Amino acid sequence: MKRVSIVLTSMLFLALFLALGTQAFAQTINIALANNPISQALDKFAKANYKVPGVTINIAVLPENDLRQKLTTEASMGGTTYDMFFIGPYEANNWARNGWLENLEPYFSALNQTRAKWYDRADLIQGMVGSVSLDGDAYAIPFYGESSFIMYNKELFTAKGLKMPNEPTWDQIYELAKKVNDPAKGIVGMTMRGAPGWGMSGAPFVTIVNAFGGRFYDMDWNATVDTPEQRGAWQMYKKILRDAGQKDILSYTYNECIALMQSGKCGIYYDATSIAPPLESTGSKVKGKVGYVMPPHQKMMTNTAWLWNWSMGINPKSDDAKKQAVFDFMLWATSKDFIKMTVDTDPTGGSTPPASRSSTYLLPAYKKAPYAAMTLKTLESTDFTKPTLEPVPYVGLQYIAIPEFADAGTQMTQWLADYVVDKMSLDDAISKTQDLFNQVAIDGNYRK
Amino acid sequence: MKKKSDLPFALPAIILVALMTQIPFLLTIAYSTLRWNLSRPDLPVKFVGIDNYLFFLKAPKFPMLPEFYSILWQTILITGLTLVLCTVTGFLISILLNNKVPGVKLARTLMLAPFFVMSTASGVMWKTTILNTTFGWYGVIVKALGGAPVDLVSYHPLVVIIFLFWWQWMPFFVLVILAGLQSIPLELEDSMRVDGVNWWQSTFLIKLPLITNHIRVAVMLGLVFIVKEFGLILVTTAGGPGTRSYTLPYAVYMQVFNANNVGRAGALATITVLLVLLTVNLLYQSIKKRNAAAA
Repeated sequence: MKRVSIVLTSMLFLALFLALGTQAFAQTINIALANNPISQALDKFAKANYKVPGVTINIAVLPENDLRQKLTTEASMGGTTYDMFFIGPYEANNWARNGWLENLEPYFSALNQTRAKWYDRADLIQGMVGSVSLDGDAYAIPFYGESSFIMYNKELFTAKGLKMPNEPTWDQIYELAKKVNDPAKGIVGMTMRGAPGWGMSGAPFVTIVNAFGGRFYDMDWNATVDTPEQRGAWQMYKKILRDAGQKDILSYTYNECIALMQSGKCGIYYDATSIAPPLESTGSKVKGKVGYVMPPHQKMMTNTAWLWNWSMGINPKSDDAKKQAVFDFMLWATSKDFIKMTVDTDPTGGSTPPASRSSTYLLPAYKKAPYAAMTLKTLESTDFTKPTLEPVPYVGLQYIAIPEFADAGTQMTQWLADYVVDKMSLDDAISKTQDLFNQVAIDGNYRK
Repeated sequence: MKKKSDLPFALPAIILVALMTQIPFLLTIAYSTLRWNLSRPDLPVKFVGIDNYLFFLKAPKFPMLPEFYSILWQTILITGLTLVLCTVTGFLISILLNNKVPGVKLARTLMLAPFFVMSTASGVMWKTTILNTTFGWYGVIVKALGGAPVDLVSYHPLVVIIFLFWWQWMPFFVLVILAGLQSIPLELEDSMRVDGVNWWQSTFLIKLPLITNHIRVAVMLGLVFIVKEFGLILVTTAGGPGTRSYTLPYAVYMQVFNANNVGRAGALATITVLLVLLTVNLLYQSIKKRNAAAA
């Protein structure tokens, strides 16, 4: 009996030792990504190809609004649920200032020569790197970038004898969308994000405001929502979606818009340049039939697109070993090798992260993509420091780079949604938004 | 001899329960007096007294009321109508299920099924596979009948939310009310039959008064559960369009996780808890009064 006890006790200790040993050497890295096509592709590639001894990658793919809320709470509360933050320039700018992101410069400095040469940091598109840096130090690495443009179904346009201008105005887009719209045949004239959220319907909407010459604040941080320019933008967004848009307007995130455009039953689609690859991928009914032109303008003639990137940063609260493991993963996911692997696996470019590296546009398969040239052109046309016709005290094209905009922008899009489906008058929606933005300026101590 | 108090024996348990249940609430009240925005660590956390409450309650542009009042009204409407629907249909279905007919056990089990489905799962199921105008059954059926489906989630969000709440919570009411009906003595049923009481009289004039307490308990518990229901709203309408299907708990969630405003979320949460406590207390008092009268 005694012998049995000794054997059992020894086995227990051995199991405990092994468990602790594994714990000590194995790293589990928790990552949350947005549920857009390129990030979903990263999820698949990472699960299949990222093999580093002792490192397990745990990836959760979340809807964009949820991801933003979760990560902001995590960062502000100093949580360690996620070791890598998947964020954009809006967050990176504020978070780096707040100490919620790890400075990446020491990690880059510690790279040996071979690895530094392999990674080729200079090849990263500097505008994108700059948007997630603070005082010259990188706080995140862009995974992929995007601007916005118009995508249209050439087949439907030809059938109706229509022609898309290379640089359309919003008025022209509206007229064309109405002509293409054919509910009897199930054809939708134009689709845009309708689901509220500052990064959802807010993205196309704020660029419409910019194009119409509207702004959200004057230089003294007085709200300027109640202006004819803003009203014009609100009315344009509504009339496009109501007169020629999808039926379930407010349920449409970009995923539903993509599905509708891919089905071949939609004439025009205004969204991110990174949406183009899925339209050209195998299985899409509009593959090879989509035309790409510049984002619409109106009163403001240029710089009417948006600029965004999804970048990877390190949670400063994670332990050092995890931070290093996250950095290694980030290097892998943003390397030339990763990009080449995605093109080799999916030659349509549908899984390849665009606008992160200059060398991507030299890859023969990618250069051939019908959207590549227009993507570069729109990226080059954007300047997120001068978003509006008249001067403003903020930067950001489809957002205002202040922490309060996540909430204020979301509330604004909720009233916009109300207005679109006739639950609120334009006057009420504008008046509420005007009051809200004034309140934000006061609460945030912006107004001196 | 003076009787010793039992308090010292009960005190540790009272302290433990108080600590576990009341500390989060007391902290919420404390937070509600602070100006504290998590996304602005550069702004100091500052005591602002009742400013956060006034932010929601005061109406500077009267008669135009601030958003809080419409959200409060929506919460009352959603909770109240759901409770009424659940009670009426729950009672009628319980009457049906209280009959001894073949298959009644299976019917009771099936009837309870929606109660055991996670609210987020049922929300996604209803939104995407049933109510969607393009891919859902509703859209397909309406189109097949020659009609044009209306996007119910966008245009009638309150109706959708109330219906889904009813679908989810009605089985709970059936469970409680059926238990009440089954507790009615068989002798009473025999007497009713002997006295020639018809169905209408036996159901509404005899059985209903007998199970009033069960119904009140179901309503009281239903109120507590339904008023804090959150997942269904998040996955179906996300509070929209605008804030048309916001309830107070959903507004609290948005204040914390979207606006990162701990102070205002604390104030809103405190107002919500006070309103629920007040209503539950009124219901509880009415049950107590009735029991006292019966005794």
